[in-house]
Amino acid sequence: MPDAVRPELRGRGRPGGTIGIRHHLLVIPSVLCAAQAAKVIAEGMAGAVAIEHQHGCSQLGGDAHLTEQILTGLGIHPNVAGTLVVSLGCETVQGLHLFHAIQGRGQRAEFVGIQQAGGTLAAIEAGREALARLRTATAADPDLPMPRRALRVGVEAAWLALPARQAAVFARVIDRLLADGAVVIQAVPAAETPPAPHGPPDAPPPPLLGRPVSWAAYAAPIPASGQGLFLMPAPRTRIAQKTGLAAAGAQVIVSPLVEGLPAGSPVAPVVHVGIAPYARPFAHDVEVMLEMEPAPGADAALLEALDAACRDETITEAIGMFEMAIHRIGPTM
Amino acid sequence: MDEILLYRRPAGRWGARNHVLVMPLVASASGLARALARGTDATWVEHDYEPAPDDLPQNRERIDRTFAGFATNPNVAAVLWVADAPGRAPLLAASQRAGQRADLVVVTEAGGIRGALEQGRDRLRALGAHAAGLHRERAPVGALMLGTECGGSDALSGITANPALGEASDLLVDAGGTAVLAETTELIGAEHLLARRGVSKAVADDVYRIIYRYEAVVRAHGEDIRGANPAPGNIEGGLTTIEEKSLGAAKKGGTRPIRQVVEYAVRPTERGLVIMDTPGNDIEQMVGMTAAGCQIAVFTTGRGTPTGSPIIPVLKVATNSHTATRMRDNIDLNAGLILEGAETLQSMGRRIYEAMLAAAQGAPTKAERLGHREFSVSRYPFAALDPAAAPLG
Repeated sequence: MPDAVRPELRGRGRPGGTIGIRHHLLVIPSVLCAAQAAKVIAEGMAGAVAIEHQHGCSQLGGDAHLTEQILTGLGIHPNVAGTLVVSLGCETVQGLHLFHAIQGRGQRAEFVGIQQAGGTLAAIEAGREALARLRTATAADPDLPMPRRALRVGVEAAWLALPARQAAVFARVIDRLLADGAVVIQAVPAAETPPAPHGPPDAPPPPLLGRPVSWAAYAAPIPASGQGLFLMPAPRTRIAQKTGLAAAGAQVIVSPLVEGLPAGSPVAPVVHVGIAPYARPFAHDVEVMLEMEPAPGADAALLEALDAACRDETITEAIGMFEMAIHRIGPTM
Repeated sequence: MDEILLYRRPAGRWGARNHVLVMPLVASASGLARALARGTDATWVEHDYEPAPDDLPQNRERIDRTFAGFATNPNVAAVLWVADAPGRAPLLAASQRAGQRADLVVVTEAGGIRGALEQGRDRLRALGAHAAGLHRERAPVGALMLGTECGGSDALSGITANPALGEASDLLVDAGGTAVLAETTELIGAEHLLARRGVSKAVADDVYRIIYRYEAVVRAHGEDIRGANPAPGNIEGGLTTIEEKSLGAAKKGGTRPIRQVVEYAVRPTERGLVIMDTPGNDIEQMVGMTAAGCQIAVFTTGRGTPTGSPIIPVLKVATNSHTATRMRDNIDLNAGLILEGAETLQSMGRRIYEAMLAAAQGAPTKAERLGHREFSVSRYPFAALDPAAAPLG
């Protein structure tokens, strides 16, 4: 249905002009060594989310660059009102550099260094004070209408390999989102393993849904001027796809559940579409089930689930399950 | 002290802790593992490894070995595996074959996430009851396997804390125990000194082999090891080259003969000083040594690294008084006193050894008090080299 007759969705306006469907304060450890402090800092504050990742040190050039790009992308995500970077101090991905990258892109940001603060407990105290400052600074973000044209939807790749009738539901829903002016970021299997992290492939993107498409590099933020459909070559693993889509700026992610378990993402709510027959045991853990012979209302149900995720907690958010994986190119040193 | 108090485990092994561990087999079960452990005394692991169809068999094997070794570490009284699908059950059988009390929750068979939470809590309760019935008994000091590690190194690491830890390693080896020296990338440049201490030509050859293999794989990726090592903090701390870092890092292993070189996360068959081939990444190294059966680790640090382990006590030894004072929440022992003349390498080594025995018998380390429980999966690093990267013979 057109925007006019849908119940109006609302979001929070950010200084850069984007609209968030969540109002997170994000705590990013720049390295695994800082993850415990980051977690404890976030536990002390309502609305704060700490991400946990296993990177940031003894990585070679390409991996260190990708880690920093992903952490920056998450730090400036529209669903994030403000970002606190927690650094150890001696790591490869330097926390202060990450903080400047996030702040330099217009995000409200704070920084705490564990070695600089004088240990874990001192860093936790300083981090809680920093989060309180961020909460004050972000409290005035205006409550705004959230039309579909302000929405960026990330879609995982698995539906591209589904049987035709199930795939057609995704194709029609994506088409509908695009017609309403939303940006859709579609993960596609990387042509090579691992995917090139620094830029899109040279070849022109294949046509999809009969619409013009643009390439997006894995986990690289889509520019504010970006319109329409983007294809993002991504690793096969679903969690690394989610991380890449969130780092690109998708406010909400559609995850076709064809294998593994439902898994959330730290900054973007995930709408799980359980694909029958695999996902039948997960009928209560997914937002929508898609039978092998999809029901006539399947498109509307998926669109409604997307709207619902903009309004309310998803199932994985309610359980408190969000995972994080950063794709690795080379070995760790 | 020839006897200490430890937990008796199957197959003659001894534990320094009595953990119940919740272990996800896939990344997407990590949140579930955390949710299961929440509100209980159980510890848990979170990781980001999601098997993919194009996974190398060597990678799969390395990760299975790591998970199985970690879950059957003697500090673990019982383990609850969490899997997405029944196909991942073999690790349950492997841990049970090793004599470990173990159970499994398969989410697809438990009726989804909510069903798995319910079933998992029941099974966790039963495992917890088993652990609660176990008590410390007299055990030989020689039952201990010590993991040695340095992280956030500075110019003093090789002068104070690492050689003092080497003294402690020697004391443990002389008492019949095992000390593990690892982080191959931080032994580059010290290989000739270590190979000389091998008990046989085969061991000496293995020392050269693991070091050359790491150098080769970095080159094969078109990178320079010097881009990641020494790390920015090492350089700020006064280290100039990887060779300088290595000569200091190798001192953690003390002076005794090197009995064996083992692959990542492989349990040594020899007692005494052994070398394990691990990345220099602090967390991957710690996980590898733990999966091999180390019940305790001593971690020296110049800059102040706070990390610990979900299942083993990790003692932090500062290389300098500045870090020891500044990060006193995190640091257990200050080897900077050697520089000030208040301690000698020998007296500091004895202090580390005694602190290690105390921690093994239940004294909590700073990292344990602060809740540090870092874990990271180490991928098979040598794919770029095959077939030259055949495992050690």
